Amino acid sequence: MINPYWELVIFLVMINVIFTLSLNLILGYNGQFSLGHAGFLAIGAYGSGVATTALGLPLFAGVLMSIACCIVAAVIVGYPCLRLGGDYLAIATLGFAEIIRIVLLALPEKTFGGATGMQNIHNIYDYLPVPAGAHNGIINLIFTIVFSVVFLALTIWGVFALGNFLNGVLQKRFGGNFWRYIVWAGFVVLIIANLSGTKGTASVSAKPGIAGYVMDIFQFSNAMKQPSLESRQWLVFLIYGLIVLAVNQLIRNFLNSVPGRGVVAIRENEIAATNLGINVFWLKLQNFMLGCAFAGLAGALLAHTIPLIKPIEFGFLKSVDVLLMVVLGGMGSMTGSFVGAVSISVLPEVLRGVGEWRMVLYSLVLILFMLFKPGGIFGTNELSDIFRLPWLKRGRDAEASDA
Amino acid sequence: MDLYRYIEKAARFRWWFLVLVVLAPVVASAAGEGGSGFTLGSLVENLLIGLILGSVYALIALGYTLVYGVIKLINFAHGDIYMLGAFTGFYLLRFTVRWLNFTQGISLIWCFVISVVISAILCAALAVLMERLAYRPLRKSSRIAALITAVGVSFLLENGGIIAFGPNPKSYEPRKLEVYQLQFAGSEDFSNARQQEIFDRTQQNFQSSELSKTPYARVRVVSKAGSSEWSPTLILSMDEQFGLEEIPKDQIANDSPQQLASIGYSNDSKAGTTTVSWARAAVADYQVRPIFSNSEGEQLAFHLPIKNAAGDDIRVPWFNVVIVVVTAILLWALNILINRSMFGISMRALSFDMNAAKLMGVDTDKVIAQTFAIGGACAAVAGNIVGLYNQQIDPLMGILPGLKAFVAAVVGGIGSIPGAAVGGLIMGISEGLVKGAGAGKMADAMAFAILILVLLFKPTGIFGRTTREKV
Repeated sequence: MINPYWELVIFLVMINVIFTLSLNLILGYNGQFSLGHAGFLAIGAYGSGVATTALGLPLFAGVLMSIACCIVAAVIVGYPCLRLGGDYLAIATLGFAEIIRIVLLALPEKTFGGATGMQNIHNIYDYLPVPAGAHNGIINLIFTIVFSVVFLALTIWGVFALGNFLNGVLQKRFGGNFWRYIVWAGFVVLIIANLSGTKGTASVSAKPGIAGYVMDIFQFSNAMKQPSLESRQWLVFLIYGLIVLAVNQLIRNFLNSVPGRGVVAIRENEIAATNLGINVFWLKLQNFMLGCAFAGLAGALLAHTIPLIKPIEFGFLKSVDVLLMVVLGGMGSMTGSFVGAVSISVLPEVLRGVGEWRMVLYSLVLILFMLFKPGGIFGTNELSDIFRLPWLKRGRDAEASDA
Repeated sequence: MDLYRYIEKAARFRWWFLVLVVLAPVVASAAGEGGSGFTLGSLVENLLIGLILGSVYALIALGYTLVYGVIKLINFAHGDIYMLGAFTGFYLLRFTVRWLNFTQGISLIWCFVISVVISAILCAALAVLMERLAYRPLRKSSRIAALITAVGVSFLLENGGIIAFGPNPKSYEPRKLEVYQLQFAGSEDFSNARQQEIFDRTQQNFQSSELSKTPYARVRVVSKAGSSEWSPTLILSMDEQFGLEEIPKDQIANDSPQQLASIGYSNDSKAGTTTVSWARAAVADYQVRPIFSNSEGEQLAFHLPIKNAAGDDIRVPWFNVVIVVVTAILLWALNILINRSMFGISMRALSFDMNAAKLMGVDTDKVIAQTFAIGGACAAVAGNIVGLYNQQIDPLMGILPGLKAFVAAVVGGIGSIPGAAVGGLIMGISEGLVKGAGAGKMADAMAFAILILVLLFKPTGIFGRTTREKV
């Protein structure tokens, strides 16, 4: 069993990956600068927190609600700013994040916690079966790991097989490519399925979302209904990992779709994109909404992972953190986002001794990267562009062979 | 002719917008927590506060608007230049008061002027350095890279400031020095009666000395040549509490003990031996006389014949009047500089089309550096004013005023100096009114709400020109 400290670090890394991907979609792929991304994280966290505690909604509804809130907020901020050229979005989002922080401080303390933070949000573990004991034996652990891996593979394969089938059917019936709608739907289904667990009470044991139902079906449940602590941990890693992969796949597919190519075209040259018949403003707004939706998802997961959310945590510092993750990894590279998020999330744990110089170090890294390697570590390359592995035939190779 | 042009522009300006921006906070604040609404007195009082804030925002906004006009970069670090201006001004004022006011008898106003000028020069140099090191290499690359660098520079200055000046706010407040005792290493036998005698003598010395009349006492603690070290913790705590300076060891050796007594310290060393056993300082309370004060240390002010909420006449310190006047003069002078001088013409040419300006023989690098220098100097002046007005500065003080000043620049129309002035006043007055209504927390939020409203309805700002992007 991984100790709680590193467990939390791993969770935060996963959440930061989603958060970084969401900013990368806006900053790296579309060239729009959102400098208050932490504001959307805050909306996500408080949205889901309030929905699940004060409103008593189930987990998936809380997550969907925070995503919806973020999309609305994205429209409010994005509509005036994205119409204009220039860097108004950066200032407006920065100001918007500040407004969110101040408003959260001013909202009623009973529901929102005020400056001391919101403490009573259900942790993700509250939605899992109560553990029988500290250790249920090595068999349980091995079983959980194997189950997780097989389940992961089956889910991914299943979702794509189903998606492909659906796409084929729809193509025959209506013509055109429906992948993006299917992926959106699949994404929502995946979140609902993964997070549709019910909170356990004294008499009714909690159900861990889709994994619990599947286990019920296959009667694996004797081991899992009263899992060991390790099994619970693995289950949560599994759920979060699935969501990270789903987000990754969704963004990848979006970027390979027609509007996704348009998004990249806007980054390259806005005027040329206009001449290609792209509705630049509308596409920028859509992309911004999508990125903010993912930030909201990250925020919702964050609320259910850490014991306490405070308005002060979603300040300018958080926005700079995520900016650094995107820049370090490479603006316009999914792999880069992963690398940036993992390294910047783990770095503070390693650099504990450096103390207050850490922030100076961060800012120097930011400046020096911009001066000498503006592309970040990966530039716009993906892993498949660097290691040309046959089974990773995506990115430029695939594009070249397509053309 | 300039005036005529502005009147013409103002006539074309949509008045409902200004009314909206000014009325919104009033309406919001009437509905806010305060509830009671404004009386005439509190309205005037908050308007005056808003005027001060507004002139400071206008000064900061100037740097944003000039730099944005020339290289289309939001210089995020500008707010931190303003912070550094406040800090350099703080230390310079301390220094000038010690060495010019105390020793030379030069008046406090001149000390302030000198420290403002020097800190403006320093900040201008820093802004130019920043441009040279961080922004110039990126002029050819994408705008987003430059913007991220600006954020990085801002972050660097903030955190560097925290490390250099400490995270706690520094205060201009008069310090209260109390009697304390220095215990040197190697302390020796002195009876209490003897100690008391020396202590009393020290106190007498101090009260009759020049030191008791000065706001900043520079107290040197020296020991006789060859003496061993003193307790370093004590010196440190002295330094933090009272802003005293630690004297380098080699300097200590050269100072003679006689110097001590004359500036408020007394030590006692055994004749012929080299050890200093102890010293006791007796420094009485002292007051910083505010700038523009009479000989009793009262701030000079005049009263308006309007009663405020407390039932007194509204008191306006002359310093506040000076702030507004100085800002107005600076903005006016800069406006002339931009509109009439060769530098202003080349700057405007640059902002219109950089390549064309280069072809016409404008030294673009030089002009950009000069623009940064002007912005930095104005921010430093604003920082000095705010430091003395709030009596307190801290390393993160630049973030919010910087952002609000940018909003002010956008409200006024980015690239225009009268726009910066008007925008700054709008921001300042609306903030003053919101704060006066008791919704102080909401003042920051409102600034950005104004930004979003402006971008929604009149993105070019009040004095902005409508430009169409060309291929």
